Amino acid sequence: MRKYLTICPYCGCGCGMYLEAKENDVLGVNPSYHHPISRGKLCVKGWNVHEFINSSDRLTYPLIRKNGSLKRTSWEEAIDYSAEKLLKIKKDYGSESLGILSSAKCTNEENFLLSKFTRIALGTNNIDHCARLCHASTVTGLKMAFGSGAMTNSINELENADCILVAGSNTTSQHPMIGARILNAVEKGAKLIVVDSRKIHLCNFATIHLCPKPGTDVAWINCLMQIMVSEKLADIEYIKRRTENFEETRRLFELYTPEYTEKITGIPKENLIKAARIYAGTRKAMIVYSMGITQHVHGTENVLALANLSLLAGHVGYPHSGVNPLRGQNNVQGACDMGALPDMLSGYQPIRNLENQIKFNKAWKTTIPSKTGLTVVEMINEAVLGNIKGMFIMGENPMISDPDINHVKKALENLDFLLVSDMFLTDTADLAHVVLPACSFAEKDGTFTNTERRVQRVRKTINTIGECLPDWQIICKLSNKMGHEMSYEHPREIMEEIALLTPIYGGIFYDRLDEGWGLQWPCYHRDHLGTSFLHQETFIRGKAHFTPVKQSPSYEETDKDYPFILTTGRIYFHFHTGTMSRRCSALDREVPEGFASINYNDAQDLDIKEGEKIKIISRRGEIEVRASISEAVCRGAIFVSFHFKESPANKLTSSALDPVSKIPELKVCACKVEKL
Amino acid sequence: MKNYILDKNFLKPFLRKVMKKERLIAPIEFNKDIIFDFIDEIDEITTNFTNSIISPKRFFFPQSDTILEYEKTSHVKVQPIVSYERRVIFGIRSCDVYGLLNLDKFYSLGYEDIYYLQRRENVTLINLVCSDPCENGFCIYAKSGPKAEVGFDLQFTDLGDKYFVEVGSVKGEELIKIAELFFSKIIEKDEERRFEVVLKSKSCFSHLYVDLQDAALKLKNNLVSENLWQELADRCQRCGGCNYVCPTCTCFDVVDKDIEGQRGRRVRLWDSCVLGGFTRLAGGYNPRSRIEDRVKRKFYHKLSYEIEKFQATSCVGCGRCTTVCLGNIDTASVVRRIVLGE
Repeated sequence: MRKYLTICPYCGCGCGMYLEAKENDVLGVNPSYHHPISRGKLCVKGWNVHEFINSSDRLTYPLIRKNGSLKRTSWEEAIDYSAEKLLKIKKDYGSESLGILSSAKCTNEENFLLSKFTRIALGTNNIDHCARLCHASTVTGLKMAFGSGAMTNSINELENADCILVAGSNTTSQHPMIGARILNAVEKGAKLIVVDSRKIHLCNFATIHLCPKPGTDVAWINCLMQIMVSEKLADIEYIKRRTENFEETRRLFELYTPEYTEKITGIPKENLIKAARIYAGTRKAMIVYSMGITQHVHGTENVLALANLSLLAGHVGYPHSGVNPLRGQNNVQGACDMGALPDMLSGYQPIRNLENQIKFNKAWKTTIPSKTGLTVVEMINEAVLGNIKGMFIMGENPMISDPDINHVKKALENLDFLLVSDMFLTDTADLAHVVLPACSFAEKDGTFTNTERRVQRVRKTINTIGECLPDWQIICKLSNKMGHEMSYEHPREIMEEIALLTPIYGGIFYDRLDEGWGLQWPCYHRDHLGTSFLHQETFIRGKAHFTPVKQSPSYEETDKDYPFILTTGRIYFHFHTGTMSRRCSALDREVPEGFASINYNDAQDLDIKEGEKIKIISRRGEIEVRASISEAVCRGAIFVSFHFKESPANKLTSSALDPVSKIPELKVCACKVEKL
Repeated sequence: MKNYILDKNFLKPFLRKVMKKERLIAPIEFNKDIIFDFIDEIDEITTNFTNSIISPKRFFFPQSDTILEYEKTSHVKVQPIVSYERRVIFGIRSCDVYGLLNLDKFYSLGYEDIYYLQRRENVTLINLVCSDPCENGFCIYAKSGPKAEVGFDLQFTDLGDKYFVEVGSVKGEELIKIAELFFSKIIEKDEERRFEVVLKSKSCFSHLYVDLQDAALKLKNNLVSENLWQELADRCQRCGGCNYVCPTCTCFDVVDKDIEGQRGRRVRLWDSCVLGGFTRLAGGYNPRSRIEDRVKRKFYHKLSYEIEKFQATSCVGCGRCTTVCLGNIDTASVVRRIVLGE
């Protein structure tokens, strides 16, 4: 059996691995020693990745709903029926009544094709994917500030930083390879500032831990800036030469004195001062952040505040220093890059820009729609209202992953037609009219782009299971049936089209990817070696932009009926909606069911014992889940992971949106806890 | 046993003849990474390599191994699945040979593990002496390398243009008989060169002394501070990698998986003692619920208990845990900390 280097399908680290297969069964995994990210290591999910691929409950043939239940059908019937339904909805209600969810789990080529399909075959820009739920605010915020919404640096640069400020990222759990780099940096003497409302594992290594009340991030960030200015720690020359709009911003953040901020955030003022001095005093200072910053109704403001902070200290534009959003999915960076977004074409080319329209119209021999489409949560809302009539969901599981699941269910049940492609019969697929069996990462070729913008080859190791097809072939079949020809023999050809139309991917070709360990975009042409860190000498947008931001309230504050703040997230042993990780016996054994972390004192007040089932109720729904009494969460807060469909945290969460990026506020909602 | 010389030009011709008789496993290079795998084309084999991340242990004790298939009819039909394939592993390193000797003891102690032992019985090992030690290895201090004293069927030492071939067993002698024409007699000078190659290799280890014996003594006499285990626990990321790559880790979990309909298979999978589920009991109680207890137990097992049981530590100094560990708490560094009395 030939072995092929491929990429782990879990988080955004993008570890290189070889799969061990016997006949068509994947039986083991082998980390790549020379790969720049894995360096011979894997996390527990990576080490056990082989188990879900050949799972006996993989979908192996298409299903169609007949008399209320899903029955086996042929590909021909499934595609014919789906094409007919989508065309009919388009004809009867117009293109805007169709919506597409693309997938951060699928390859770049698949996301690009689905983006193309949406625009040419459906005639709408209603395409989005789960990046909306994780880093939408990063894409908008960092683009406004710097001109690009991606990590400014590379993962390995973390090891040589003097200071690492980790905000709202449980890095050792969610990005184990990056967590390990942080530990290495600390071992070498770097200062670590952890800002998290939970006592996460990294706190054990932190120089200082700031523990803000959930939803008060703008306040502490503005306060650090206030301290830096008042203590003359700001890099005035950098601000002058590299940035704009500083004075206006300064007027606002200067209001956030340590005393005032302590009242809002609960962080003692001495700690704020200490953190500001460390961050401003070091030269190679990395900010690392994730969902704790982004998943708020003021997510964009949080991101802008962090960007301001880094600019004030002059910390962007050189190695080992910058602002680094950690992307959560194996290819969430790529799905964004490929234009699976309602307002952008591939490479963040705005769809409303006439030149872009002309370029794509010419290449695709069509007229692409110019009106900005709907985002994930907006599509769901419109489906409830009956304005979205048909959806195609590729490899996403909004019935577990999206906020306010009862609302999502209402939306999906309200559709005239729902088409889902997936590896498993997920809770979302279970509501579909047609379900198409899709290949796993082990059965297809393509590329994933990891969190540091590294485009890497995913290589087919085993033959397709059952009648499964890779999603790119599914899209081609559907498009061809709908009268828009798509003929590609291999994903390589799709990448060639991507390179042609996408400046930042302009030099990315398979032969180049096969030579080494991938290429980091921007990579403009064939001779371009890729870019390890951004904004060298000048920002992508020219001068970096300071934006004044003030602390605004969360959508839902606690009150006497709902006195607890619920935050949600992932845990180390599982991934997202659990469709892969829960099928791996070692991971399932480790954490077989969901749990709610509750502070020891709160548990005592409510007479809740360790492991006892409790009920958590929000204004939108309720779940029953076991309590895990913990010092990691502060008083008044509850943490529930969203992996488990038996106790789905997203029944509780709110779909209130950040008005700029349309990211829902998954990190804060009010709830109450009852003993059962 | 006898010794021979094999001209390097005839290594592949020899292995080609071996392939005709038995299934050949050897190191292959993929993107500079080394993986031991079944050989279909003789030219895939690489002879100049640092050891693989996954040890050849996996050919005896695979990461996941179907041990039986069953059918859930009125009376359950069970079909054990044991491999009787005859195999030759070329290029195994001394540390891994000693690793197998360790597994041999464990899997035949009291209960005889047929899945392992059958594969072991049907294999012939051609050990390749490390003339250039790997970065993380400390086999020299674990007395398991760079050259093996026992355990191999054939042992090759690279003399530049030829291999010095030591025969370690009847199986080894029989393998040579497959292609005796390629092997010639040694002369005294060859012995000298072999000695010098090994001597030079021994001088090239990057690790300072890793004193496994002293660590074992300190553990046995409880001279290790509890703080050490707490610090290690903080650094352990519970990936399981150290166990998975260890040539002497023997633990496995057993799960039943459906095939289709009433058919299913029982699979055993590599397990890791740093995982909580490893010791959790059916009722939910976990005697080692804290990671510090599990990490402590792991090092006691590797470095101390094994001495009482088998008169040797079960660390062969391959250094793989140094490579895979996310928290830099590999055996070499922990031994050093124990010895220093941190």
